[in-house]
Amino acid sequence: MDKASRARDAWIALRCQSGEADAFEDLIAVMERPLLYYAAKLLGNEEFALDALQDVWMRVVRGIRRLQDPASLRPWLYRITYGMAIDRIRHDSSRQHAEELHIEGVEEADEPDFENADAAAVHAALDAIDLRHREVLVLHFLEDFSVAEIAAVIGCPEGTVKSRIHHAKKAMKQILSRGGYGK
Amino acid sequence: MESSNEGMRDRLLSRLPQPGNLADYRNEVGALLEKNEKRFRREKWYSGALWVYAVLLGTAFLWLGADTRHATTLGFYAIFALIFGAVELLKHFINRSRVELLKEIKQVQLQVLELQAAMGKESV
Repeated sequence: MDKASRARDAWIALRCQSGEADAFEDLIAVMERPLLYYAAKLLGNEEFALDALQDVWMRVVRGIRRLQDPASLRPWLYRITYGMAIDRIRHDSSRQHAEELHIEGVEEADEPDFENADAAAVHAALDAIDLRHREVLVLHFLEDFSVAEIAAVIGCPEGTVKSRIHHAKKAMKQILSRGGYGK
Repeated sequence: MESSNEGMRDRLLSRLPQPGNLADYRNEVGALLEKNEKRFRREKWYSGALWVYAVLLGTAFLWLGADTRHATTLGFYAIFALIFGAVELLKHFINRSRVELLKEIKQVQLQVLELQAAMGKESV
């Protein structure tokens, strides 16, 4: 995340904390789509994601004044969304499949980048990778969060996040090169 | 890295379909924001009312206790009420001015960053 985005986030958070009338509307306008995208990718369904997002806003409205560092607004919002989505997934029996996780060691290899990849392909391929990989990669694509920020959002050690990003990128690259996304 | 991610971010977000329950969601969020605004207004009013109540209570204790044998006790209650009211009011003011100050600073910082970005673009 760049300096300007941080400053903008902090400003919106402070406006919300001071009770400015339009501040929450601005916050929703800025963050609604990325949070919906994140929730949809975790839950696998836009309708469920929208329900979860509604609960997220409720928590945000109640809790924003307790947010100590206004600049960390974005990770805080993702953390709430993550919590809401995971709660819903836990209630769902399909979690079983998603929970198959192996924490692998990070191999020192070139990190694949997706700069020139087709967004439609990346969007579809994200659904094909493991949930634990997807949740970190979506944060990486959407917000360019640091490893520490992603670790704070999903509540994992930084090493695990690093490993997951690495393996997620590798898995994505494989899917994209096979052209088997969305099937 | 940043610009590529920025591009990918926008391209990914554009893939997001409009869910069917969007209208319900918008209504719920609208109602939530309205409720929140009311809550803020109520809280502002509450801190002022608390101070007035504390002053009135303190005055009443002093007035009633002036000529009675409970003068000391009531005087103590009056001071307690005034201190309680003042502390609550002070907490509210300190918090409000802290947030307002931070807001001003952030606004200036944002303007500086925007100017820097504009100057960077011009020099390129």
